[in-house]
Amino acid sequence: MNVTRNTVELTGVGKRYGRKHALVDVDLTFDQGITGLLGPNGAGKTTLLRIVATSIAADTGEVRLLGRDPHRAFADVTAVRRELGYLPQELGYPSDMTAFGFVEYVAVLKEWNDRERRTQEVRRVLDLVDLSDQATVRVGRLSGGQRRRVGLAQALLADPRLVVLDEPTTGLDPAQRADLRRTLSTLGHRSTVLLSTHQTEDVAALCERVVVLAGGTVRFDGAVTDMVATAVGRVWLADEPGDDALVSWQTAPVATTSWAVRRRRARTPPSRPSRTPTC
Amino acid sequence: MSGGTALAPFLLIAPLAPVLGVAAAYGPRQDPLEALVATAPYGRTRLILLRTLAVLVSVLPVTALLGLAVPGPPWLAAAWLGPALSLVPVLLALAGFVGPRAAATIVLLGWSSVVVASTRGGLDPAWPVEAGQQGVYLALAVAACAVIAIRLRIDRQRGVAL
Repeated sequence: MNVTRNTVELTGVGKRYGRKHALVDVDLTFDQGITGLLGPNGAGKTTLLRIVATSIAADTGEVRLLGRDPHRAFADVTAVRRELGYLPQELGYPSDMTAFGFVEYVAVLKEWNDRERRTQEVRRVLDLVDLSDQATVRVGRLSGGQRRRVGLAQALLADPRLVVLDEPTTGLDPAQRADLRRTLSTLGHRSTVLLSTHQTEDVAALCERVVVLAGGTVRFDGAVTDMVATAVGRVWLADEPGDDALVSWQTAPVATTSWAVRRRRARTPPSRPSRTPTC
Repeated sequence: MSGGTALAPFLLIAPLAPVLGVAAAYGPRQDPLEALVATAPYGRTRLILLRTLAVLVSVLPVTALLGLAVPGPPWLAAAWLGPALSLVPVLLALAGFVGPRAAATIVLLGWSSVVVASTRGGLDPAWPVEAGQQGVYLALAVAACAVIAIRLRIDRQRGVAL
């Protein structure tokens, strides 16, 4: 019998920090393609991604990555890490390193021991994120968006089969986000890409599938179009949080626009003229 | 300055120099790339041990030369290496549970207590590094290495070892 395994298989996964449950009994599988994780802060997105990135272990449940159990043996977790690209939500950048030096250092950690091949690979990934001309600039002198792209470059080293990106578009301007989308969409043809973001536009543009987390549990798992259909009449754009919105959150630092969510109510959009249904 | 007067500060500081160097060489607060190191195939443990080696190679010769200048019997210049080389694995073992900063504080307080107690107790200033005590340091180092090894077996697949 030919058994096909998914790249990522999570069965009954749970994780808690003290008394707080970050993830509760999560069942998910991911395979080739791009999946977006959406959810408010504290929903469990980063915890889920860190478990998949072998940064932390689940407290309960079973985790299989690339057909291996990373908790079973050192050889298994090392094999997974050789095919993993990971961009953490918060990545410190040694300011005195150049962009090239930073990515090269990570390449060494990823066991690119041959200097010539390593140099070629570092140049390749810097080119992918359009930073070739900034390679010799110290990271401390790069803009926030450029630093984020340096972080992304290291995650693309060695064409990983499993790519975990925690808010990769943070700090990028619209043009850079468009470039990033192009890079990631190419990557999604051959790798399993999991990304978390607050930018619903990124999910709509990039992801075939979306998983919505809230309170550590999966609230939605399906195609983006299905999620949009689910939200019709219940999610809208507003100039200010309304009384009838059970949840609302800003989409920009100085926002005049908020996303608002209404649940268990009539599906008619709110009547205020300043509000725009999004679906 | 008499030999005894100079010896106590030297014995207080010299074994702690590599400990503090190692403690400063890794950890989430010290290493901005900790999140990547923890998920890299190279392995966090290998990197920590490599950095420990780098610290020892750079710190020990300087401190050994300083030891030659301290008045006292010639063997003193090497005797402090016993506690120094046992306190480093103790630090690494403790850091796996409480983090490098707290571990360094515990080791610092522990070693300071030994030196201060021997000085105030009217013992020979060289007592902390005499032959009788070297066996204790060796036993301490072996125990610390055993704790590290056990901890590695349990935790290294999670990327949280050490």
